[in-house]
Amino acid sequence: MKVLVVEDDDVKRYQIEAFIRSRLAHAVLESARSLQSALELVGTFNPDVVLLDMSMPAFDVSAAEDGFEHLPFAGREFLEHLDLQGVSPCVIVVTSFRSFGKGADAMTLPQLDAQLSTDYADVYRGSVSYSSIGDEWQSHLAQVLDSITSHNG
Amino acid sequence: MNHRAASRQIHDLIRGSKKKVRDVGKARATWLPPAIYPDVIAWILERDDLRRAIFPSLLPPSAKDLYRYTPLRETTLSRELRWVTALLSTQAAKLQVFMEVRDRVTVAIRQSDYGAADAALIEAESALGTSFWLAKLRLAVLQVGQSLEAQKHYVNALKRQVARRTGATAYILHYVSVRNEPSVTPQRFASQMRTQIANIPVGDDLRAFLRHHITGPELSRERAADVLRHSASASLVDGYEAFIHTARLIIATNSDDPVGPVLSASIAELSGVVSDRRLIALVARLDGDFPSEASELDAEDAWLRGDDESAEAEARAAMYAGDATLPNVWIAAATSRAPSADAQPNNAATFDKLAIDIAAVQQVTGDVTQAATNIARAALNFSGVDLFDLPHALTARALSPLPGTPPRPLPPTAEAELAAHEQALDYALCDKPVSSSLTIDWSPEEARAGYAHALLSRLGDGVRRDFVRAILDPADASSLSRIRPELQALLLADGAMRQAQFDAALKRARPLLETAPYYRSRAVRLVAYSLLRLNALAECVDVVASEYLRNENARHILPIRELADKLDRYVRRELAGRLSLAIVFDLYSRFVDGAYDQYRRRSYQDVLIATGVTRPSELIELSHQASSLEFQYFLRQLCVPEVMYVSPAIRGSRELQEERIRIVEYLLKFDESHRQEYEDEILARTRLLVLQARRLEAEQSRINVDLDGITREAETKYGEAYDRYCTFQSAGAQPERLQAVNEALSQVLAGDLAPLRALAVPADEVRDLLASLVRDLRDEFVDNNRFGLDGRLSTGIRHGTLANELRGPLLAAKLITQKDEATQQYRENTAWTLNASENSPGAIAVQDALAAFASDFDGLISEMLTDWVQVKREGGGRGLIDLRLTADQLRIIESLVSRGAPFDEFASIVFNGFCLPSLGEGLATIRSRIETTAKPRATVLLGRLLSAVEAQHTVEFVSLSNAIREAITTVQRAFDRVSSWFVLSKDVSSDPLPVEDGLQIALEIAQRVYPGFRASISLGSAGREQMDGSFLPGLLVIFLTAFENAVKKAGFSEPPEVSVRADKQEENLRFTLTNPIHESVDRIAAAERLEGILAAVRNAEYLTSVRREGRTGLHKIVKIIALDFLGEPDLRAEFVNDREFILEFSLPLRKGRVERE
Repeated sequence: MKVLVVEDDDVKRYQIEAFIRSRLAHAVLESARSLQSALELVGTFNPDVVLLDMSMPAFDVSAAEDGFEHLPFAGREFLEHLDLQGVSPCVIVVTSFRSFGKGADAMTLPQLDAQLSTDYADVYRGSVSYSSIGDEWQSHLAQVLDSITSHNG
Repeated sequence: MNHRAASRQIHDLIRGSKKKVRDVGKARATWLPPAIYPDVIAWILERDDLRRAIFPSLLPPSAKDLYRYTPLRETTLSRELRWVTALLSTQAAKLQVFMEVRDRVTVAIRQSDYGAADAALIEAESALGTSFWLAKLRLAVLQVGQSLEAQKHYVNALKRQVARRTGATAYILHYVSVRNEPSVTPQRFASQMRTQIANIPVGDDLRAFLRHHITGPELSRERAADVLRHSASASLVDGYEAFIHTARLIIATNSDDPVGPVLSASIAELSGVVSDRRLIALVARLDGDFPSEASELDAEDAWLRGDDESAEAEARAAMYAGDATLPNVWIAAATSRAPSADAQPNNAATFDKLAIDIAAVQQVTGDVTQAATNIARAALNFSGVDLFDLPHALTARALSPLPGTPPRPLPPTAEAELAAHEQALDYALCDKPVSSSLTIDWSPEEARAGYAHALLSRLGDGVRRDFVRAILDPADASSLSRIRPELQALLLADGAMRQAQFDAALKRARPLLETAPYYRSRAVRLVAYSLLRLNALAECVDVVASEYLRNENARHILPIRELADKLDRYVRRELAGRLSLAIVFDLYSRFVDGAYDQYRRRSYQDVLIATGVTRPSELIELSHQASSLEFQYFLRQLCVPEVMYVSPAIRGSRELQEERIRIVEYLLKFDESHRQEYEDEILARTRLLVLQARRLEAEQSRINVDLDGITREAETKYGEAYDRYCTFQSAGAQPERLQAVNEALSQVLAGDLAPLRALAVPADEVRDLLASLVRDLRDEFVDNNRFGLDGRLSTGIRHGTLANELRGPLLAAKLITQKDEATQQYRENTAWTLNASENSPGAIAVQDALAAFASDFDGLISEMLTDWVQVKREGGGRGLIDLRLTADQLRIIESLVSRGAPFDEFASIVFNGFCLPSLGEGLATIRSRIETTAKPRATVLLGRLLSAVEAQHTVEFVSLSNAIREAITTVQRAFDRVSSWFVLSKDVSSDPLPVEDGLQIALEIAQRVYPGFRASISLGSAGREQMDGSFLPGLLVIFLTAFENAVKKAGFSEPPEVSVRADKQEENLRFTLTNPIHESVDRIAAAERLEGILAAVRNAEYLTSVRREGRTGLHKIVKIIALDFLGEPDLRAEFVNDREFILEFSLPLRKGRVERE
């Protein structure tokens, strides 16, 4: 199974990757730190599962690159792109936020979850609330992954 | 209690009361029967002492007495109406005087005779005293009739009369004066004032009163009693006008209001003693009748028949003859051509100006936004006379995507908008009798039939009668024949719309798209809205896009919001790739809100895919589309970085900017109408790219060591010792040994150190001397006051820079505070606990967690600075830059130094063969330590803070939790930026750099590390001077240090604004920086400290002082000026005007001088 971890928080990404390695010994892992690097990997890596952060910069941040903007709904943009491309990996949103965006676009995680379930039913497999301190997210993520693997046979 | 007993009781109560206002207020609000209010009020007014106590300011002699006394206690609207009616009824004679003045003022303003209006108001003041009504009108009259100075002079005179200038009277007068200023936009003013008033710590009743007088009539039923009560306590005139307002409000908001009978009786009572046409109209409406009157309206007849020439002539003749009523103005507008709101002559009559504005609104053309603003301004500032409230209400309805009265159901936002239109129209119409058939078209749905039948009863046979009948029933063909064809079609289309016959509405409206703008604008709205309601969404999308491109003002009347709401996933798929779809979503983002930004970006991508390109600049090849307005719009508005970042073909911010520049360069060739805009954009984006490149270059040039400079200074110190070494070396040289060394060296260069170790080199004086020389040069490399590494690490990294960079995101997120300069304690972080219950356990726990976090985070920074970013040498010490000389390194150096080599060659071998490689390894170690230790530790600290906050399990801190989550990645990126500094400096470009660009980079960095930092930079022509580009790193250090000084030492909790000025003096620029100093700063002590620093500067102590972190930044500035710019450190720093700090220094523009002696 090929797993793409899309996450700009380095520590969170390491933790998710370590969890995947412990859970899926034969998984092939790739990671992306921004929307655009994630989009690129969708084409080149062709993942089966994407563990997707919701908020991240447009481009990988470096000394020479400020990332352009930190996008509160980058994960949704990513899903929109999958729809555009017609590719269908299983996508699980792993987020530490409980609410997103501001003004007219503001929504809570349950609202976002409902929107993603409706708009991207083909690929979206649910959301997992991440915490750097607790490990409940791991069991929740394991459940979702199990449901994906059992569904895929 | 019978009335007689009640009268006795209230008389006794008042006579014996020490708090008469309180007791009367309580009685009238509770037990006193309203039926005896008139007797009680009359009884009070007959007794001077009681009148002075309870009704002290009926006719306030000056602003001092206006709304000076506490209003009576609040009561129900019904009781308030009866109380105010009873009071007003006792003042009939005065109110009659007011009516006469009011009529004179109204006529004078209508005719633009502001001198007469002002004279009438002055006369009224002497007869009736002052009032808010009078003061507000005088301010407006003086502003329009004379000047801003005249109205300011008047308001200042009023404010001087007000004893306590902080009271409600002064507040109202001040902001009414502000709203009259020509630069104030009424809509924005009203919005800002509502927010401001909502935050004033007073009761909701007083807030409503303030809003009513400042932002316009309070059209909320909820606070009607309060507005009436407060106004009645201000003055007789204000009480009367508030009474009329209340009546209009109740009619406009709900005709079945339970207070209706009371209001009706009150108006009837007043109309018996005061001759005011408004009272007659209002009582009729309350009784279910619709007041009307007959009048000759020749212009209306002509216009309805289609005779525009006669209509215009008749309308203008009537206006100039004194009949500047709205129907005439409306017809003058409807028959005019090419209105231009900004071309109004200053001396044009009020109705001329109004006609021009109304024409722009009717036709949705010209500067319609300015026209709407003009009308709104007149309605607000002249709200004391009823000339502009109806035009204002009609403007709102005309500039709406809702066609008249669309059938229900409507989406909530449309329903609310329609209700607001109807209410404003009814409010404007209900106190006037109708005489014009146009009024029927303008009236709200609920009142339309009533007004129509009332008017029909007065109209004889004629086209006006036909028009009214056609409004009631457009299907009645007999009523249409005499009406002009365009109006016939509009009436039929409107009628079909009201009946939800959208196909018919569409069919009737479409031909009108080819007619004059007055009819066309209404047809556009009907067509777009009919398509929307028919769910013909594809066509609606095309119509909205094309109509907008034809006339940008059409955005006011196109159903952009409702259409976008209907474009669900399936419709979007069906329309994917259409330019018009992208345009509709772009219009939504620009004019509604950001809720569909995602679909805007998706529709952009769909267009690219449909066209077969991966990036928009490839569209440029499709030159056959260049003339298409849709295509140009797509390039101009959608191919912008905020949208294009979703294109996978574009790989970074720089590419985004470059792509946009290519597109704008292309547009420049085809779209002449936006030429200036494009040229400015190209310039701005190109400059941005240059600045980014320069900033990056400067930020990665922090660790630079001037080897030439060190070599020169070292030669002076160690040249003699090196000569000794050369002599010894020459005397003791052995060819065999040299050969062995050379062989070993070749293996070493291949990566194998073993042969060197095998070489048995006896300890001798030559090697000891060499080792000593190498260490001396190494120390010079590190410690040289002018060019050494440690000074660079100090000024470029340790002295506040690293800490500021890492703390910046936390300051921005309000997770950490600055330390107080005097106490060195963290300022209390109340950003998240201000609204929490004071001293609640949750608030205390959060405060503690924030304090612990700040301390731990700064501890981490401190550890980095003291244990990592230091140079370690023999003899201990901390630091990850290990420059201890090893035996292997010494052997390599020994082998590389050829016999008799000059000193600079020797120094080069030491620096390039030992110091720089060791420094490079040390920097790599620091980078690694930041990645593997500092960044994870900072993340853990934030995680710990988050868990402490979430442990409170309260919604109060949800925003704080989100701020912490966001900070996790922003802090990680700050560590990445800091990590990127730890590289050996690259050469900095010496290409000329405009001084203003250099300061712009400094300002951007300062704003990153000091959130909220502001600087007003006014360099004038000096800003265009160019300096040697290699000065940039030094320039940044100087200005960032100066800005830091201002932020940290000025004593404010938020960064103060620093003003920066520059003057050219020969080949130098003299900079002057000024910032305010908070009163809490002990200026005398600070001045003493400053004098000590300046004395040290004069003694050139700066050469050593900066390496000791914690000293003032002024030393650092002087050092950079002296060493990097090779300039004279002629620094001036002093406190001026008691509470300002000024810093002056000069910088050379070019490297003109060679080394200073």
